Amino acid sequence: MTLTLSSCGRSIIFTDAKPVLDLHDDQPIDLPESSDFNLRDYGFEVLVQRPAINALDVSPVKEAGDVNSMDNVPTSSWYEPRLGYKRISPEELLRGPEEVGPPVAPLTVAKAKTGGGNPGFIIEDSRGELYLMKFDPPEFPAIETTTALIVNRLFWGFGYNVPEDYLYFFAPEELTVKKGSAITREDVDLVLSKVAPPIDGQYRTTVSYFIKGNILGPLSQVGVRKDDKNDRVNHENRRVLRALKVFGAFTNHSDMRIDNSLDVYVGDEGKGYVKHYLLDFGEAFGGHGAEHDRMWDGFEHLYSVKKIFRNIATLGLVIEDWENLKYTKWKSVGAFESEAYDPATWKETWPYEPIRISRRADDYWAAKILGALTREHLEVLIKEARYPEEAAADYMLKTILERQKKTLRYFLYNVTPLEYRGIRSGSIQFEDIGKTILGNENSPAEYQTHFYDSNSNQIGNQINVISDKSFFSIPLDREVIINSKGYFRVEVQLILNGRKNPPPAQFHFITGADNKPKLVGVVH
Amino acid sequence: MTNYLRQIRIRKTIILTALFFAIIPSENSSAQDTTSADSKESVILISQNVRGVERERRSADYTLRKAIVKGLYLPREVVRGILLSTGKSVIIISEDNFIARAEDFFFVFDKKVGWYPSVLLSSGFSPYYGLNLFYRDDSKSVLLGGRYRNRFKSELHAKVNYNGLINDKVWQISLLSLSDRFNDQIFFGFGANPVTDSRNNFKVTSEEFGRYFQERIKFQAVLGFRPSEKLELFYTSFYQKRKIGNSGIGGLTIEDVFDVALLPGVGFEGKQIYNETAFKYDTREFKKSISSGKMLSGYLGYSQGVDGDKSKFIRMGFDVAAFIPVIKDNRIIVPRLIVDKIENLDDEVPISFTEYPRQRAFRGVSTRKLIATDNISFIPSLQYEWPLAYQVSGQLFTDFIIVSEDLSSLTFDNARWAIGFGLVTHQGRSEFGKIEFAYGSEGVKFLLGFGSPLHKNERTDWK
Repeated sequence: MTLTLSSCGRSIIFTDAKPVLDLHDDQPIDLPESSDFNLRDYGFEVLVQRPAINALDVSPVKEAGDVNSMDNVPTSSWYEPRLGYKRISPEELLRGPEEVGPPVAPLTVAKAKTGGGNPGFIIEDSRGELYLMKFDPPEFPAIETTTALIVNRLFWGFGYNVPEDYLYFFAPEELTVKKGSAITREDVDLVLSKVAPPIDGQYRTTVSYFIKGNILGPLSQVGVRKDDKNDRVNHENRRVLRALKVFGAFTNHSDMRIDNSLDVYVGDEGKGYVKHYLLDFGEAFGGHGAEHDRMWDGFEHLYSVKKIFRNIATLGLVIEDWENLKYTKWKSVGAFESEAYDPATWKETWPYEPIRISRRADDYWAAKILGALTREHLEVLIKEARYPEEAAADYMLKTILERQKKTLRYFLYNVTPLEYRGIRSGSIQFEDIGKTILGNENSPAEYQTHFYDSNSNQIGNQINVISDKSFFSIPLDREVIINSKGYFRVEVQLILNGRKNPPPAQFHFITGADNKPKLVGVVH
Repeated sequence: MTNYLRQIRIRKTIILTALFFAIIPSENSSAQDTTSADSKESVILISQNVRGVERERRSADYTLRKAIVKGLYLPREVVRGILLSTGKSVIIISEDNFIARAEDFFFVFDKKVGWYPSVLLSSGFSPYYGLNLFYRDDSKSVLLGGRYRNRFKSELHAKVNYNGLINDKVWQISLLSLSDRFNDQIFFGFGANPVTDSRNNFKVTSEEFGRYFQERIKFQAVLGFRPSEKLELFYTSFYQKRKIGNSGIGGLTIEDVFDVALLPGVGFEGKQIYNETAFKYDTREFKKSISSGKMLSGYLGYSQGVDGDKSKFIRMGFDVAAFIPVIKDNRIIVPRLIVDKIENLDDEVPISFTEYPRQRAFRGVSTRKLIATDNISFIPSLQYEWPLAYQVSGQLFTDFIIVSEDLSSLTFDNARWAIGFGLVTHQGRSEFGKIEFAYGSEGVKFLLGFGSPLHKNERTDWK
């Protein structure tokens, strides 16, 4: 008996509670301490220390802690449901995080930008608002300024807090040096000489509005901020961060280092809370790879001991797909592509713990959101990004759509992609989200259904349904409700090409005195 | 019965404790009273199970995994401890901490002037202690330094570099003065098979090599010019004074093993002026760790003895290599041949054995051993290099040394050989770290090197 139990595992049981829709993690707290980023320490931690410890730790990966009973992520200081949860028009997506808007000329340079790989300025506009101004590398004009806008808006659409980033053009004479600042006109000209040259006298730049509040530094990828009582879930166990695996793969946002995130204390001291931002998307798509001339960007971690040993053993005789990649003819695109891209093996440059331990259900949740992104959304964003060549814009649209399809095909079908749609006429209604988003490429599909009580004893008969539509129903036998003794779960297994590949989706019900089943939990 | 009463008592204690905390408002709960009703609900929400779970699920292998995790606790903590302490060291030595502060101590005048001590520890030897002073700006650098192990092993050097542009072409002049002493050099005799070579006058001993001491003073000027990205031209001129004697570190000395009356160079103070022209043509991409291309370098130099030294000889040689891509551009096979020749211009005055070609490129033996030398030296080698990770590559190689008195007697018999594997870290094309294992006719050799020592195999330094 013990053997049987251990081989089957133990199923989850949900309480009869309303799903949590808002974490309300914006309770007033004292101003937390700020943290710094040191690349050397970070590199040691993520490339050496953590892989070594992880190799000796086979603990089961925890389920995400910021997920409610319906397998969704509630609103929080990290996330706001947008795409996939409400209708976001292309125009709304383009506006994205806009509140203050782009800078209003004339602009003055207050400081030179010292952090990051590319030179830039901190500028002040006529209203006194501060922005960070970043440029394209001279070898790849427009590669980052296009990407920064598109991916910033995409991540806003995915539900993340992002800064207000805009594409901005200016003539060098429009940029003056702020009186009293340490920077000189010569410094400004020196910086401008190291960036992509102007076209028709205009520099292309990304301006990023300075987030208001007390800047606390990057958000750690593991553990919690100890002096933030609202921060209750270890970051590696946050689905919003694990989901970066899907969104990162789709956009090739490989530069997933923690210094591309920011914790900001918003509100007056003692009354504020910590809000969590993702930033600096300019090196997604082909940007990071082009800037560093790394064709492996998105395909390999910066270093992996496992990979080094594998390459020693194979003497380099194995050719990776990415090794056959070539730059496209457009400098603004770099080597961004969709053919060699494989969502199953995509890798961020610096290993990111939440991505490493992301579970299928976390990926599925992200894929559902990604599935809500339409061609119309992308057309608007790409148009606004103003690619210098029309053909490059067309190529980007095609490539992004192809990547989206590949990403969805993999991550949606890594689980049984079913959503509960109610009970009607004694049958449970389901929607196959995979079919809804991707069309009928997996039709007809077979769904094998089992019913279990709270002790995982099977109740009722197995039901097999074959459907070529997104929506289908499973008859709910009255005997199941009676035998359930108040609690039962329905497990639906998708069978594709005769294989039970993805794990079944679970739908947990409580039956009250009226014998009416009520959905209390969903597991993917 | 006793157990039953104990359980009752425990339950009572739990209930009373719970009541106490329920009645007495905590500091936190009174703070919450001042907040809105909404936030009271929120506090409850974030402290509860967001998932709404009464019982967590467990995978089938949960128990097994837990057991393994417990079993690996000690090794994990040991590794964690080691890595944490290593990590702390990295942090302490990181630029933002120790080095940033140390820089203020070691560098002055806008970091243009500085000094740094050096210590070199190696097994079997007493430590080297050194000190270096430098000045640097955009076009000039001056380095003064030295290191000391004992009175038989020390080095002092001063180097001035100046570089500039002529019609956008880079040129550089380097001036070097050097004084060093070494007492651990080893000579095996002339010829491919020294034991049978009649030019070697071995005494009857158990050893086939002798240790010697060398003292050197050198003043050198090098003018370099790069007319194109792929071509570099050099003119080198130096004056050198060299004295050879017996080593004082134990083992058989050169006098114990060889009849030094018949071995030119020992006990004699050679003084020469040497002038050389050289070129290097390299088509490889400089920024890439591994790239295909061709490389050819060559030199021709004339040495004239001065101040009692009557020697006159010519050095010449070339180094040719092809970097041939196989499978992909970054998997390359490198056939390479290094040829060095010395030609005595006055048969009446034999050349000191220390002037004969050295084979620093041979990876099967330490460079302080002159294992095989003669008028002509060939080092053919074949290497396969492939990428292992970003700026890390692997190398499989085989090297040979073939020496001969003249071209007609050149033979592969008695060739010294080595095969090996290297793991190299790059910064662009140049190597800045290397682990190398070699096995061959001279036994096993292991090399671990980082930074500038890897670039000290300068050809014109016929140590």
